[in-house]
Amino acid sequence: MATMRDWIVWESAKRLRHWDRAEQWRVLQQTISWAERQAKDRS
Amino acid sequence: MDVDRILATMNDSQVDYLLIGGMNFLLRHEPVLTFDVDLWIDDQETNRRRCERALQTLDAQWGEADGDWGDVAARDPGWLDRQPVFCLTSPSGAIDIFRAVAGLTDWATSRACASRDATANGTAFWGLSDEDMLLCQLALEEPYQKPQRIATLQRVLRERQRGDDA
Repeated sequence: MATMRDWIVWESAKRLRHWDRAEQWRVLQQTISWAERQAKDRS
Repeated sequence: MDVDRILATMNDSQVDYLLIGGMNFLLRHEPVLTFDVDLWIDDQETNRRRCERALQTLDAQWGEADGDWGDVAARDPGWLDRQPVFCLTSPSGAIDIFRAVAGLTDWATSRACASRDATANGTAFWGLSDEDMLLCQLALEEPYQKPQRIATLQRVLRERQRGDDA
Protein backbone atom coordinates (compact mmCIF):
# COMPACT_ATOMS: atom_id res chain seq x y z
CA MET A 1 0.00 0.00 0.00
CA ALA A 2 1.38 3.40 -1.00
CA THR A 3 2.35 5.79 1.80
CA MET A 4 1.81 9.54 1.71
CA ARG A 5 5.52 9.94 0.92
CA ASP A 6 5.13 7.56 -2.06
CA TRP A 7 2.24 9.66 -3.34
CA ILE A 8 4.15 12.93 -2.99
CA VAL A 9 7.22 11.55 -4.79
CA TRP A 10 5.09 10.06 -7.55
CA GLU A 11 2.93 13.17 -8.03
CA SER A 12 5.91 15.59 -7.95
CA ALA A 13 7.79 13.58 -10.55
CA LYS A 14 4.72 13.44 -12.81
CA ARG A 15 4.26 17.20 -12.56
CA LEU A 16 7.89 17.83 -13.45
CA ARG A 17 7.47 15.73 -16.60
CA HIS A 18 4.62 18.00 -17.68
CA TRP A 19 6.08 21.34 -16.61
CA ASP A 20 8.10 23.26 -19.14
CA ARG A 21 11.64 23.94 -17.86
CA ALA A 22 11.54 27.62 -18.91
CA GLU A 23 8.24 27.98 -17.07
CA GLN A 24 9.83 26.50 -13.93
CA TRP A 25 12.55 29.17 -14.04
CA ARG A 26 9.96 31.88 -14.60
CA VAL A 27 7.97 30.69 -11.57
CA LEU A 28 11.11 30.56 -9.43
CA GLN A 29 12.14 34.10 -10.40
CA GLN A 30 8.63 35.43 -9.79
CA THR A 31 8.50 33.67 -6.42
CA ILE A 32 11.77 35.24 -5.29
CA SER A 33 10.55 38.72 -6.32
CA TRP A 34 7.23 38.14 -4.59
CA ALA A 35 8.93 36.83 -1.43
CA GLU A 36 11.25 39.85 -1.32
CA ARG A 37 8.19 42.10 -1.44
CA GLN A 38 6.56 40.15 1.39
CA ALA A 39 9.68 40.53 3.55
CA LYS A 40 9.89 44.26 2.83
CA ASP A 41 6.21 45.14 3.20
CA ARG A 42 5.45 42.88 6.17
CA SER A 43 8.57 43.75 8.24
CA MET B 1 4.19 32.71 -9.26
CA ASP B 2 1.02 34.58 -8.43
CA VAL B 3 0.43 33.37 -4.87
CA ASP B 4 -2.15 36.09 -4.28
CA ARG B 5 -4.26 34.87 -7.20
CA ILE B 6 -4.15 31.28 -5.96
CA LEU B 7 -5.18 32.24 -2.42
CA ALA B 8 -7.79 34.77 -3.60
CA THR B 9 -9.37 32.17 -5.91
CA MET B 10 -9.56 29.66 -3.05
CA ASN B 11 -11.12 32.35 -0.85
CA ASP B 12 -13.61 33.44 -3.53
CA SER B 13 -14.57 29.81 -4.16
CA GLN B 14 -15.17 29.35 -0.41
CA VAL B 15 -12.72 26.46 -0.17
CA ASP B 16 -11.91 25.49 3.41
CA TYR B 17 -8.13 25.25 3.28
CA LEU B 18 -5.00 25.81 5.32
CA LEU B 19 -1.82 27.09 3.77
CA ILE B 20 0.96 24.68 4.75
CA GLY B 21 4.53 23.95 3.65
CA GLY B 22 7.24 26.36 2.56
CA MET B 23 4.97 29.21 1.51
CA ASN B 24 3.28 29.31 4.92
CA PHE B 25 6.69 29.25 6.63
CA LEU B 26 7.98 31.97 4.28
CA LEU B 27 5.02 34.25 4.93
CA ARG B 28 5.15 33.80 8.70
CA HIS B 29 8.86 33.46 9.45
CA GLU B 30 11.79 33.64 7.06
CA PRO B 31 12.69 33.09 3.40
CA VAL B 32 12.82 29.54 2.08
CA LEU B 33 13.04 28.48 -1.52
CA THR B 34 9.75 26.98 -2.63
CA PHE B 35 8.22 26.18 -6.01
CA ASP B 36 4.64 25.64 -5.03
CA VAL B 37 1.67 26.58 -2.90
CA ASP B 38 0.73 23.70 -0.57
CA LEU B 39 -2.90 23.61 0.55
CA TRP B 40 -4.47 21.18 3.02
CA ILE B 41 -8.19 21.12 2.32
CA ASP B 42 -10.97 20.01 4.61
CA ASP B 43 -11.68 16.55 3.21
CA GLN B 44 -15.43 16.86 2.86
CA GLU B 45 -17.24 16.11 -0.40
CA THR B 46 -18.72 19.60 -0.79
CA ASN B 47 -15.34 21.17 -0.10
CA ARG B 48 -13.60 18.93 -2.63
CA ARG B 49 -16.13 20.06 -5.27
CA ARG B 50 -15.49 23.71 -4.36
CA CYS B 51 -11.76 23.08 -4.62
CA GLU B 52 -12.21 21.47 -8.05
CA ARG B 53 -14.05 24.56 -9.24
CA ALA B 54 -11.34 26.85 -7.84
CA LEU B 55 -8.65 24.84 -9.63
CA GLN B 56 -10.70 25.08 -12.81
CA THR B 57 -10.84 28.88 -12.40
CA LEU B 58 -7.05 28.87 -12.03
CA ASP B 59 -6.73 26.95 -15.35
CA ALA B 60 -4.88 24.21 -13.48
CA GLN B 61 -3.64 21.05 -15.17
CA TRP B 62 -3.28 17.56 -13.73
CA GLY B 63 -3.37 13.96 -14.89
CA GLU B 64 -3.97 10.70 -13.13
CA ALA B 65 -1.21 9.34 -15.38
CA ASP B 66 1.12 10.87 -17.95
CA GLY B 67 -1.23 9.92 -20.75
CA ASP B 68 -4.19 11.95 -19.53
CA TRP B 69 -2.41 15.09 -18.32
CA GLY B 70 -4.46 18.17 -19.20
CA ASP B 71 -6.89 20.86 -18.04
CA VAL B 72 -8.81 19.91 -14.92
CA ALA B 73 -11.75 21.77 -16.48
CA ALA B 74 -12.18 18.80 -18.81
CA ARG B 75 -12.58 16.35 -15.91
CA ASP B 76 -15.85 15.18 -14.45
CA PRO B 77 -16.55 16.33 -10.88
CA GLY B 78 -15.14 13.93 -8.30
CA TRP B 79 -11.59 13.65 -9.60
CA LEU B 80 -10.23 15.01 -6.30
CA ASP B 81 -11.73 11.94 -4.56
CA ARG B 82 -9.25 9.56 -6.18
CA GLN B 83 -6.03 9.94 -4.19
CA PRO B 84 -4.64 11.67 -1.07
CA VAL B 85 -2.40 14.27 -2.73
CA PHE B 86 -2.33 16.08 -6.08
CA CYS B 87 0.52 18.07 -7.66
CA LEU B 88 -0.83 20.45 -10.30
CA THR B 89 0.50 23.18 -12.55
CA SER B 90 -1.28 26.42 -13.35
CA PRO B 91 -0.40 29.75 -15.01
CA SER B 92 -0.30 31.18 -11.46
CA GLY B 93 2.22 28.57 -10.30
CA ALA B 94 2.40 25.03 -9.02
CA ILE B 95 -0.24 23.96 -6.51
CA ASP B 96 -0.21 20.92 -4.21
CA ILE B 97 -3.53 19.80 -2.78
CA PHE B 98 -3.42 17.59 0.30
CA ARG B 99 -6.45 15.73 1.65
CA ALA B 100 -4.36 14.49 4.58
CA VAL B 101 -1.11 15.58 6.17
CA ALA B 102 1.38 13.33 7.97
CA GLY B 103 1.68 14.20 11.65
CA LEU B 104 -1.72 15.90 11.83
CA THR B 105 -4.89 13.98 12.50
CA ASP B 106 -7.79 16.30 12.00
CA TRP B 107 -8.28 19.33 9.71
CA ALA B 108 -10.87 20.98 11.97
CA THR B 109 -8.56 20.76 15.00
CA SER B 110 -5.71 22.34 13.05
CA ARG B 111 -8.04 24.99 11.64
CA ALA B 112 -9.13 25.92 15.17
CA CYS B 113 -5.56 26.92 16.07
CA ALA B 114 -4.55 28.23 12.63
CA SER B 115 -3.46 31.81 12.06
CA ARG B 116 -5.45 34.33 10.04
CA ASP B 117 -2.93 36.36 8.11
CA ALA B 118 -2.58 38.35 4.88
CA THR B 119 0.03 38.73 2.17
CA ALA B 120 1.68 42.08 1.51
CA ASN B 121 -0.98 42.67 -1.16
CA GLY B 122 -3.69 42.14 1.43
CA THR B 123 -4.88 38.69 0.38
CA ALA B 124 -6.19 36.94 3.47
CA PHE B 125 -5.38 33.32 4.19
CA TRP B 126 -5.47 30.76 6.99
CA GLY B 127 -2.02 29.37 7.71
CA LEU B 128 -1.13 26.27 9.69
CA SER B 129 -0.01 27.17 13.24
CA ASP B 130 3.65 27.03 14.23
CA GLU B 131 2.91 24.12 16.55
CA ASP B 132 1.35 22.12 13.72
CA MET B 133 4.12 23.09 11.28
CA LEU B 134 6.60 21.63 13.77
CA LEU B 135 4.52 18.45 14.18
CA CYS B 136 4.52 18.03 10.37
CA GLN B 137 8.29 18.35 10.20
CA LEU B 138 8.86 15.94 13.08
CA ALA B 139 6.53 13.39 11.48
CA LEU B 140 8.74 13.21 8.40
CA GLU B 141 11.50 10.63 8.09
CA GLU B 142 14.83 12.26 8.90
CA PRO B 143 16.11 12.60 5.30
CA TYR B 144 13.00 14.62 4.44
CA GLN B 145 13.06 16.90 7.49
CA LYS B 146 14.21 20.51 7.15
CA PRO B 147 16.53 21.16 10.14
CA GLN B 148 16.60 24.94 9.68
CA ARG B 149 12.81 25.10 9.65
CA ILE B 150 12.59 22.90 12.75
CA ALA B 151 15.16 25.06 14.59
CA THR B 152 13.29 28.27 13.75
CA LEU B 153 9.92 26.86 14.81
CA GLN B 154 11.34 25.50 18.07
CA ARG B 155 12.96 28.86 18.82
CA VAL B 156 9.78 30.80 18.04
CA LEU B 157 7.69 28.48 20.22
CA ARG B 158 10.22 28.68 23.08
CA GLU B 159 10.19 32.48 22.93
CA ARG B 160 6.41 32.53 22.86
CA GLN B 161 6.27 30.22 25.89
CA ARG B 162 8.69 32.50 27.78
CA GLY B 163 6.50 35.48 26.89
CA ASP B 164 3.41 33.67 28.15
CA ASP B 165 5.17 32.71 31.39
CA ALA B 166 6.43 36.24 32.07
